[in-house]
Amino acid sequence: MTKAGRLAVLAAALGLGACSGSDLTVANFNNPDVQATSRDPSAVQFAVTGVLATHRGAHPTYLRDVGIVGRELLFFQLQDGRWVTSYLRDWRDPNSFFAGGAAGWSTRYFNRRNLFNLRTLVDSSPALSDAQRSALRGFANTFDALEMLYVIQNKDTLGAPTAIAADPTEFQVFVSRDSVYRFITATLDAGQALLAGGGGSFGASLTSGFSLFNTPATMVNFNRAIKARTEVYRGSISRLPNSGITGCGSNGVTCYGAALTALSSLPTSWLPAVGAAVTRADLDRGALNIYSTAAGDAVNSISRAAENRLFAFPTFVSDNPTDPRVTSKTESAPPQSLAGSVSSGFRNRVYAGQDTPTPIIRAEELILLRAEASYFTGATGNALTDINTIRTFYGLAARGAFADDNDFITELLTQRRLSLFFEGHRWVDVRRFGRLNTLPGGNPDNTWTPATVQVVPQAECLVRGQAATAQNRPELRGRGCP
Amino acid sequence: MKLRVFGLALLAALVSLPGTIVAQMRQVSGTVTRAGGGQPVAEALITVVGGRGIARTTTEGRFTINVPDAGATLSVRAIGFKSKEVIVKPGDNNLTVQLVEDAFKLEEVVTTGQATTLSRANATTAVSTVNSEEITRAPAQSLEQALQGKVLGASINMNSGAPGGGGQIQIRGVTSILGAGQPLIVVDGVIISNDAFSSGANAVTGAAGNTGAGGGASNQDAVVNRLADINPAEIESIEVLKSAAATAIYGSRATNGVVVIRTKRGTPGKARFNITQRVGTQNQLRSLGTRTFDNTLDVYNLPYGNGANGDAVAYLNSTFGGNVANGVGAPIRADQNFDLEKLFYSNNKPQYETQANYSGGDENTSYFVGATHRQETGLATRTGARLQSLRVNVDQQFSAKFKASAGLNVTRNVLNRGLSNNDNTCTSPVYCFGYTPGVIDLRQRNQQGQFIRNPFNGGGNATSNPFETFEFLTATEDVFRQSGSSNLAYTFVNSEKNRIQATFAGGFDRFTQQGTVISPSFLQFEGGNDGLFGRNQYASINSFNYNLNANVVWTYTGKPQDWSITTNFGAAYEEQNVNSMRARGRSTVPVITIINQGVQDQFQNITKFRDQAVYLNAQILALKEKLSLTGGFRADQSSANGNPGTLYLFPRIAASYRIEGIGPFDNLKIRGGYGQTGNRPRFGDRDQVFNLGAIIGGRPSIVAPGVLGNPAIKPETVTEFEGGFDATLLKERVQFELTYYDRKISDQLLQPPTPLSSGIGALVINGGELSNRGWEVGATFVPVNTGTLTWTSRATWQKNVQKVTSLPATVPPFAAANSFGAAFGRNRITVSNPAGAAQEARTTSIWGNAPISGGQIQVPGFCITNGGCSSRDTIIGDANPNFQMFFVNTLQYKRLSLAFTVDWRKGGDLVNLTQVLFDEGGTARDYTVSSGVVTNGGGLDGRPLSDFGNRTLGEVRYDAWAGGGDARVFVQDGSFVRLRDVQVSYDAPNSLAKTFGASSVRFNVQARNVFLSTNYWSYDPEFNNFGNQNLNRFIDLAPFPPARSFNFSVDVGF
Repeated sequence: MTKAGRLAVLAAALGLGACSGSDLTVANFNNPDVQATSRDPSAVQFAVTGVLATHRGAHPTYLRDVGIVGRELLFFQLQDGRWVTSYLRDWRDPNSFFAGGAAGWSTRYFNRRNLFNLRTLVDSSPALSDAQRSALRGFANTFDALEMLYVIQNKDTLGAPTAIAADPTEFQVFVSRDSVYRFITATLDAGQALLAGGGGSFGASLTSGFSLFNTPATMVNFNRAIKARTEVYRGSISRLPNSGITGCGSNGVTCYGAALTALSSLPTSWLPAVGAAVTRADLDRGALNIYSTAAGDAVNSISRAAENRLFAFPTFVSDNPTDPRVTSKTESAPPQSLAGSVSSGFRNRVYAGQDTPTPIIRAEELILLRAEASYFTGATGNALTDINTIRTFYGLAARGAFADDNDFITELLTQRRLSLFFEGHRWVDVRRFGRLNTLPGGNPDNTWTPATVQVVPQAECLVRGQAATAQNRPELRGRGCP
Repeated sequence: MKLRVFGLALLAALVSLPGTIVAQMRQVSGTVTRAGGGQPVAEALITVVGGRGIARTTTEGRFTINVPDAGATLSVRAIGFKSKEVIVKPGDNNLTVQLVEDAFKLEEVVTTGQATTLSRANATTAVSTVNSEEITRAPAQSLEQALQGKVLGASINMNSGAPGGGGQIQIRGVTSILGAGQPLIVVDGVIISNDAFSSGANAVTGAAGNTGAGGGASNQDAVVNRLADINPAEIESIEVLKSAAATAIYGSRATNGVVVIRTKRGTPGKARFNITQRVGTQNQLRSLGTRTFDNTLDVYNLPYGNGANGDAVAYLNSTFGGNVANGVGAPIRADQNFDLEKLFYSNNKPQYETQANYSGGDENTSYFVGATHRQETGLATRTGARLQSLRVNVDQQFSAKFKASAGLNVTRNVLNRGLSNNDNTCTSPVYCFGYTPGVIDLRQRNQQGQFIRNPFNGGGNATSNPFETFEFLTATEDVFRQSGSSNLAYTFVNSEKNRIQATFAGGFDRFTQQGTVISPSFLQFEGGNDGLFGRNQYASINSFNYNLNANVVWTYTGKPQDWSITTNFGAAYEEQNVNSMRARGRSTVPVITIINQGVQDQFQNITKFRDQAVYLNAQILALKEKLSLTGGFRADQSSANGNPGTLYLFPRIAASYRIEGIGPFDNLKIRGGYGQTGNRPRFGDRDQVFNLGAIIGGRPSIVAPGVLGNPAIKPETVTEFEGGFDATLLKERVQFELTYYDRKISDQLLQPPTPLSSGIGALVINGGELSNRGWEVGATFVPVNTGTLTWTSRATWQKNVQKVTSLPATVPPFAAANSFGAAFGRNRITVSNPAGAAQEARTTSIWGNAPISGGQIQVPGFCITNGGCSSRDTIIGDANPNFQMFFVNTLQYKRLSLAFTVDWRKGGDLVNLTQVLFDEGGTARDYTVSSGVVTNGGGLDGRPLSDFGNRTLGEVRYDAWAGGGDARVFVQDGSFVRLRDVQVSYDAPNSLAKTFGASSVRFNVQARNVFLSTNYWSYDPEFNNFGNQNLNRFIDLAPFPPARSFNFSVDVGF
């Protein structure tokens, strides 16, 4: 054998060893493959839970963020003054720390992507009946609408994109506030119909926070409650000058009427009849996000037990110092201020423990929604009765008839502020009645002004700006982007 | 049949090897000295050319060797000297050999392939080498620190001053936005892990939030990359391959350069035993200082509110009198003010190191055994790092044809680094001191022995007493590491014309990193972040890497000394596995430290890569070794690629030509090269998956992925042209080198954002191009060389500019990962010259908020004078230095030697978040300056304070920042001059050594980080909160302060 021959043999041996294509495929150990999961009949349950867990995950952050912006709360996170500077000032510059608030934008759309994937899984799952498919699609519609309602509460006049496409790189244009509200009501109505054809069970379990709504038939009630809230918002916004809201009729009466219709479809076991006596348990009944200290679960991160740096805005206490809702929802603490903010000596204790649930919607809000819808559809007597149900429950004197719209709105906002403190409403409520200027500044000189909207996150703006330029489609730009 | 013949031939060759020549031998002795002065050269290696005799010189330079009666040629080599061949004539019995110093390292060998080398004089690319003497000039926290200032073309930063190291080597700038950004580390042929895993400090600091699943670890935990486990004392030499034309031999993981480390091996001769004992101490290189308060109202009225909370008011009134809430202050005496930060980082307890090694061998077998015990002491109490290492290297020559080498290393590295960097619980000491006015001595304990509580910054469990925390908190990283290498080489043919050798090499690198965090429930901050008191966390990271190589090298020598060609064909297989487990118990039972109690969480993550490659290299030496040509290609496959089966081809070619004796040049070499290398995608980039969502109501969930995987993902490709020249001139008194490189990184791995409203956060794609250009200039002088006094001085200069030259049309500008947003500044990935841009954007440009009015960016301070501002995110600085220069000097006078390294960095901005803390908390040392001009205020510098109304310096800086509306105030210049290391050594006379029964004794005084001159306000312009990352490497946020260390050591050889 020649030298060259030996070399060739050796080279061949080496080459074979190297190129024999030892299998280089490595599975992903940490996250389930989409294709394989889609064939698994249990995937639907995991995806439903994913929707509920994502919705729950964003809730405390959302309540905290709009609570600070709406001057319900101050967050004395003393390691970072931006909890004051970025929230209490009308901070319009896109800032990754806060602007756009993930809980009012990206997490909402993220859950809509989850819902998109859930619908795909429902279509492909081998284990579901047609009725269950209909029920789960109705569930998906209801949550899709709810997520968009959070978005439009956050972005208000900016509007938002409503469509979710299979391809995430496909751009959806911003539509107007009016279109977003109409998308929400239409999605809820379609969801109601799907749930109605949904038979006796979802084929997947919900959490105990939805124990009143864990069948297709009872999920309809949750759907209608969200519908009522949406129509009340539409109605009140339509009464503002140049609101652009369509389909609400004169002074919002059509939308308020739709709200009343939705509310009247609810069982009295949830929404007590007008004038019926109520208990604490009655008022708290509703759909809840639940928490736990179990491994892998989330605790209620805005609870008094988990976060002692969340303080009530001082005027929440000083405006109504003896109201039992104020005294039960706050506690005295050594005064604190941060980065030029006003000082507060009242710590929040709305949510006591790490596992205290946060309400998504509950009867106390429904009664106040009914009061508002009743009033603006002319049933002022029912409105007064509902308002007085709340007043008398908290030991206040029943009040007499409303002098005018202004009197009613003032009374309504007061009761909503006290009853629904730290439940994500104050900022949205004063804005939809054009009273944002009644909120205090937040600094001792009272010169800061509250934000009217939370701006679109910078990442969204930059992506859209690039696409608008590259594709020469200016309509792709984000609204309110610099 | 033929195969069997081949096998028999092989067997016959193996059997018939040893002792084929028997000749008459005689003994020759001699002395090796330095040319010029006559100083003896110890440890010189003398071998008989073409024979088997071998010897080594003593400390007196004496040797004895057996040579054939008929005469022979001896080769004499010593580290730091040019080798020499001496002819021994029959009858010569006593020789004197004079060696000339090799100041320019021209005799070194550089790596050109997996199994081939070339002498430095013929190298075709720019190569930086560092030898063992340079590495161990002063004790270093980790290898990166030892290399600082010594590698031309590399930017080496320590991330903080915490004991145990943690640093980043960036060679020729950033070559990737998303992929790996660290050079490949190869130790004796084994590709070792330089990954960095948190040991869990985040569980306490909550820097990244600490309630969720990610709460157990964060990249802000002062994470240590595992180069820290390499013991500098075991290193013989380090070669840094920079150019793609050189690194291409390592294929798709080599875009960031390759650091080739060779450990010490035995040499034939009498067995040696060396022991080094070192002892030292350390102090703070720089202290931040603190504001002095003389009245309690100044504390109460701090603008941030950190002196006005209930506990603070109670403390002020009860300690100093008065009633601050009613506006009645009380005086605070000077001796009631405490510089807490200085008191905290004042641990000067001794640090020490013991190294011992023995080595030796004969012509067939040589061995090296080294052991080290090194204890580094941290500046804060109960912090430190302990490295214990044992290495055994054995080389065995079985025959003239068959050689085997093996090495085994076991290391234990135990780090106690305390807490530092970003923090959301006021537990990171520097962070917390920024908000704690120093009017309390936090070292005090009450009668029960408990530390007093920190009443400021919220008091209660919103804050902490760092003195208490460091006394009782356990935050330990315990790494046990084993690595080994093995190399078999068989020479099939060794004729005058042909030499064919096959090598089989491989090795493994395995470590277990255990991170333990035990925070007892009585610590002040406990319960503050999640309502649970006491937490124990345990992290276990198992890493196992191995690689195998098979090579055939064929050298054909056409005409001896005229031309030769070496061809290398080979294949490689590599695998990397990481399995990390984290478990956490909160609300834990006192005293015990296990985690299966209280509220428990567990997290696991596994990654695995499999790569394989085939390669072919050739190098040609021609025209009497004046012309060298190297070239080849490598084809790589990786499990990380979208298609694991696809081969990616990386070619390279380089050439150099030497001219001797032209003009003032003794030797001028012109070189140029071209090469391509790749950077593979990250684990999971190719996978389309669901992510795991939270558990709710006892049910686990799946959710959409945050980043959409890309089944078509492939490696990014670096294409580099390099050119330059090396010259020696003025009779080898000056050596000069110059290199220019131009890199293009195409098919970049990018993670561009999608519209968030799509519900997916980002994509992983290949696209666009990154450009990286720079100059490297080095000059070595020998100003004095008299034999008794030798002075060698090396100065280097480097500059690199990097920018994104193109991005796919769909990719918007986006912020690089890991920063704190527009309020503080960060890097942005955007094309360098977008239409309408005012200035060129580089990947090092710092983008952040600046006030805008009337469409124009306004001057810093506008937010104050205008009473508020709206802002635009724009370029407000550049983290890239204008240039860096290193100066290395060595002087030898008789038995005394001096060596020192100086670094000069011009320019390069930082985001000084440490100062933000102190300005926000009202405790900055210069806060109350009330006249003159603004200093340490970034863009505000030089403006009269009187421009901003009745404000002090600290107030001006903080108010001009405007809650993040103008980030330019804290974007500050990081220029510095630093004396990195100094060593003074004295070689004791042999008479002294003999009194100890030793053959050599050497005394050393060594110091590190001796001196830092900079206008920068905070500790060190080289630190970075986020540890090792490709971009955003300029964020200074409450780091562990840097230490200056002084050491005395004695080396004794037997």
